Amino acid sequence: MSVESLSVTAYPRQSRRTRLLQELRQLAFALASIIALTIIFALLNARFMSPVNWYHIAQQVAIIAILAVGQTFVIATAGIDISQGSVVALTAMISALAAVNLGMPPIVAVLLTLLAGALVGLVMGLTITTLGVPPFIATLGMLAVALGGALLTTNGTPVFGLPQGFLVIAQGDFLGFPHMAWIALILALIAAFVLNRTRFGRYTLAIGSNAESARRAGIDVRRHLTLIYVLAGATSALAGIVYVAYTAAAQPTAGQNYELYSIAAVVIGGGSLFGGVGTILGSVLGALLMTILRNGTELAGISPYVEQVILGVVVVGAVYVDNLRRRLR
Amino acid sequence: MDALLEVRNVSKRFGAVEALKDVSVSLAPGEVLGVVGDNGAGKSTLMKVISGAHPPDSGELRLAGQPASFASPRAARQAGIEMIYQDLALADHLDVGANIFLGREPLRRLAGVVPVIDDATVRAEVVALLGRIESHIPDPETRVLALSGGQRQAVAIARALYWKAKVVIMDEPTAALAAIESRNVLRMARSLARDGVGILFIDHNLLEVLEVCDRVAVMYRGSKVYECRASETSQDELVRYMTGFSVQGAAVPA
Ligand SMILES: Nc1ncnc2c1ncn2[C@@H]1O[C@H](COP(=O)(O)OP(=O)(O)O)[C@@H](O)[C@H]1O
Ligand SMILES: [Mg+2]
Repeated sequence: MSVESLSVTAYPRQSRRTRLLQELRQLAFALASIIALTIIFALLNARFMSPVNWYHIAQQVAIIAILAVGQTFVIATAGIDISQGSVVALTAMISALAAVNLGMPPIVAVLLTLLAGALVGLVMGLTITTLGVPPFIATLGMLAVALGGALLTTNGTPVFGLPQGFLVIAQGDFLGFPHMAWIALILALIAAFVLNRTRFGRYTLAIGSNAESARRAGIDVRRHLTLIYVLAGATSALAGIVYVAYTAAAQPTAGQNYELYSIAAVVIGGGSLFGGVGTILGSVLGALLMTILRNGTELAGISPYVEQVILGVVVVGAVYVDNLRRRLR
Repeated sequence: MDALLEVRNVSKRFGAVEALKDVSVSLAPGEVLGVVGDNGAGKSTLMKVISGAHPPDSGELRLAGQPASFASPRAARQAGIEMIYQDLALADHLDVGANIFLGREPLRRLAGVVPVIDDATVRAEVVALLGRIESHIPDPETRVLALSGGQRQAVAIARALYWKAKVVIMDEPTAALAAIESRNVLRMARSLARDGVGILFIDHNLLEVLEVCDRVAVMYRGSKVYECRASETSQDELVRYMTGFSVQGAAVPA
């Protein structure tokens, strides 16, 4: 029998269409959950559906969505950033001290804070890529360091008196949409573009899918991973800045648990802690879901302690489902 | 025909183990050379020397008549020697095109400034490539994780082909495949050879070797003990050399 004589076509298929369907199914899941929660909370408290509350949700979702964007890139590389909440606190303090105590113009304070966030990210990235510390531990360490740093800046007291030029970052709206939501939206659009269309995004997913394959293809995996954490640190700083402008104050307790919201958002949106997958649109929908959960439980008069419990359960549940998905493939 | 690759008197030892003893082989363009031998005979070590993963202790490599020495697999790949790894090392979550072009994506400039991956070019090239190796991957936008073992081989082979490999090393490419898929891999090896690529083909299945290879080299305990045209040998003869029965004056059964 000659080698050429056989031809086989009965292979498992996964065309672009079925793949798109898979992604849509994931988004549909997030969307359905959003609608279900909305109905439940609307029934529990009529005020939930008021335009004022939705404006409020649009503000709240901004910070979580900004963090979820950074977290999407990190998780796509099979990493994780649990320092986000603390870095929000640290950079919130830095931005307020710069703008208030040092009297810097808002734009300078903002750039300085973004730089500080990028530096924090660089330290995490280098810890991971050159010292070989796993991302979970490296960012856990930074969680403690950044929180300590945030408390040290003012010995734990909040900073008030931010200038109007700083507050406008979050307060006020454009086309009926809060400024901070616009910031998150623009960031998400840029991130989606980078993840889907550029080499940087492609390498992010490739490293998360199979780092050895990326290495053999000549990608500088270490440099790329370091850069990912630099970007994550900078997005945490952006969230810190927006937080300060939103609350008109900087407190070392800002951003507590926010990493849990962002991790849940990414995983609900289709990201996998095993790496190689994730979409910005999914993560933003996940962020919206987590925001509605938070806002709705508050309006329903559910104790914030209970909300904490729910948050923990949602995070673990989402990751469990991610595990199932992976095993069933 | 001039040799594409020449291995001259290469030796390599690992501590007390002489993995390669004065081995010489040559490979012509468009030729499939089978390398057979028992476990531990030195086949993989020979391939690793050729692909730049191990430096030889002595002896030399020549590529298109010129002496060549590779400091790393990367250097060997740049010179046109592509090893198709047994584990294949593909990024499962990326699609076929993304894997073939990984690390070397063609770019175009959006609005004349922003560099983005040129998906149209990738797609067109991949369709052409898969046609050339007659693979049965239905769609270049299929994720590798949905592919069968044979289709994954096709992706690795297409990658080697696109990047103008002159020598492709396949170390037991059919070891983990279903019978029908093995046939496809053999077919792809032949179509690569038709394109002028020289192929080093390691396989335990002698029937496959006899079918796909032009020549066969037999290794035994680090030495090349026999070489012949595939059309002029048989499984029995190869086995005799592989087991050392025909070596060093041992009696050859009638
Ligand atoms: N990296 C290594 N270190 C030490 N010994 C090795 C190494 N690689 C191969 N060997 C030894 O060299 C010999 C040849 O191995 P190998 O080339 O893998 O044989 P084959 O591929 O023909 O089965 C074996 O005895 C093996 O144990
Ligand atoms: Mg071997």
